[in-house]
Amino acid sequence: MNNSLTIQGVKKVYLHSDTAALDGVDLTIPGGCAFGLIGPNGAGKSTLIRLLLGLLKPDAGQITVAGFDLATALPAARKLCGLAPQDPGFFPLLTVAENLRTFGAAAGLRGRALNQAVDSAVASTELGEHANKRADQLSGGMRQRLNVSLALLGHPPVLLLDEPTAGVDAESRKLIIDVLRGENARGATIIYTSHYLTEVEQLCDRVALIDHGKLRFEGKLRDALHHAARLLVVQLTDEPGTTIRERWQSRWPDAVIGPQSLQLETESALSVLATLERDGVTVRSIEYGTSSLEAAYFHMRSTAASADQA
Amino acid sequence: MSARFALLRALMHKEIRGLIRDPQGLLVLFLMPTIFILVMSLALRDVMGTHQASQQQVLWSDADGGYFALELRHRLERSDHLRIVDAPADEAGFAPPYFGRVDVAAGLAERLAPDNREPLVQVRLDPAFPVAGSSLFITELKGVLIGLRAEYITEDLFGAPEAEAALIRESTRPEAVPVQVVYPGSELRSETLPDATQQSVPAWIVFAMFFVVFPLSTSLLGERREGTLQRLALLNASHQSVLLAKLPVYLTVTVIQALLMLAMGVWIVPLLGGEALQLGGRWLALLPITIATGAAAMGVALLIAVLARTSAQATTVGGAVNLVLGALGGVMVPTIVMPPELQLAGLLSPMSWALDGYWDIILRHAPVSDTLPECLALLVLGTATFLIATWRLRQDFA
Repeated sequence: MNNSLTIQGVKKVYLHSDTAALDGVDLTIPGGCAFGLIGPNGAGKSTLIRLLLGLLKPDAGQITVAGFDLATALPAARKLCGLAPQDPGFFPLLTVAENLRTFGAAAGLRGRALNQAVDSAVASTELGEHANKRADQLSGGMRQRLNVSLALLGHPPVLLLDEPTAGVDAESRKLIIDVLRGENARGATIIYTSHYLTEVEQLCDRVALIDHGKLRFEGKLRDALHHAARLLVVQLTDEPGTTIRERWQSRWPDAVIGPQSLQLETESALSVLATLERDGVTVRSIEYGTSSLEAAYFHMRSTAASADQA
Repeated sequence: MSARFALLRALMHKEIRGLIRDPQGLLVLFLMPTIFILVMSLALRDVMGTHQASQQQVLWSDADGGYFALELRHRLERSDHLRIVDAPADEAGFAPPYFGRVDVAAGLAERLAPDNREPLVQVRLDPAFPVAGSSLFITELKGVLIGLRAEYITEDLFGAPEAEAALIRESTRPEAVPVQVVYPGSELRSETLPDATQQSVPAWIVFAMFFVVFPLSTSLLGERREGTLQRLALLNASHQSVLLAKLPVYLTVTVIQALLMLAMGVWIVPLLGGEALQLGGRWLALLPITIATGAAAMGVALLIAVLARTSAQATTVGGAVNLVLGALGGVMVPTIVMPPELQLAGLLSPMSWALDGYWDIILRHAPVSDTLPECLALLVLGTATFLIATWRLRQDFA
């Protein structure tokens, strides 16, 4: 089965809102990949997750999950998906095992298959010693583990996880990432949103940046990191004059020129610095060659903001 | 076992565990209605009952002191619910605990003459005293005065000798004017008079049953808030299953509530000095109307719970709807004393159907078959509101 997801021209405007939560997003998530959705709060990531599950209907565009069009075959598409939402959705007065059994039954599992699914979910998230504890008595980390284990019930081929490690201790975070890696290794497609970019780096092989409802970047993680590795960020002591700014803009069309900063991708930082020296500009600090997703993230956002202004 | 039934069973287990594991909630669920019925029974005993403790006190000042004045007081004192107390000589007014004061001026015999237009006696009443009580007192007073005037006229006209005068006196007393009052069904039990408890306790039971909207909406809105409904939707669980699973559990809770309230009326209220609820052992006969009332209450409660977006909305709307249905249905004031328009509107209240069913069994001693129309109407309402609620919940699952 091809567990890919396609999003074509999807637009969503919430009631009583002037701006689009998602504005013409086109995206293809290949089957079996671990896909990181990154972006600031309110960018549209959770909206996209909800649209992918049919919890929201798009105002325009088409979404398919494993070939099933959500507009016409929502139940079939949902059958393939597991969700770990931002706010864990479980019954607080039931124990961990009872929650898993109840939702397992809702997923259509019965008898031995249900027992196996519950045992497997408990084991993979290491909730064994908490299996008979009420959900409302679990710690924050354990609650998120239960949240993830509910998504894993029956090993669905598509897993959507919306910030599943928010407010979770390092141990539980590592465990959740390891579990998801395991599911990905089994062939599951994973869509993962998080503000912890190091986690996205650890888990995902593709990333997309969404900002202000628009897709700003989509591609392989290593491409994003490659961008970051070539990123030069220069802080200046004084504001450059208009002539100099125009000269820089024509020389480096993709550069983001701030009041006292310059940001651009380059293979040769030295030649850029030499140009600045020739232009009589004093450099306060330089940052170059940081191959982290975080650096790439800020660069992509700055570039997007600059493009919007232009 | 089909997948749908397995899901229903799992969700029902969830509901039962949720109830059992919330002991405080459970206590409130069962304790509150029983306390409610106890308080209402005892409170209403003094307002509507025929209990000795409900005797109202009136001050009496007699400046006449003659035969007719003494006879007036004597005949009024025979009333079960009236206690006459001599007004202190230096006191011209009255105050609680007395609901009023009667002043008999000198010369009552002359004022009994048929051509007299002066007030026979003066009565002052507390405006805060219930109108029904004041009216009853005035009616009794007038009745006795009419009897005395008849006696006066007869003696005046015919100058009857003492033997005839005594006969006239006896024959004009209220108890010497027998009227046969029959309450249909009363022959089936030892008691002959329906009292306030028999009339009001069923009304309050019906009223309390409809308050299932509070725990039910709390449960459903909690599931919506906690995201469990969303998770169930994603698992393609049917929205009907979510509501169907609640139905037997909360219906059982509602029926147990009703039975507890009946038990309070039968056994506990009399221990505390109130009138006992007389069921005459017809507990089973009450079951159909109790289940039907519970079903209607469940349907209305589910609909409100599904339509509400917050618990505050559900409790406000649920409380208001129950008050209106209760007021129209004759819970607070019997529909029979309402204006015709309101009586007609009262027919629309499921509480009036339920109350009629309870009264069929408790007061009219009718066979269970007599309650079938009420049961049917309540079940139709319960089914209709349940179907609308499931249709509305489908939007959460779409």
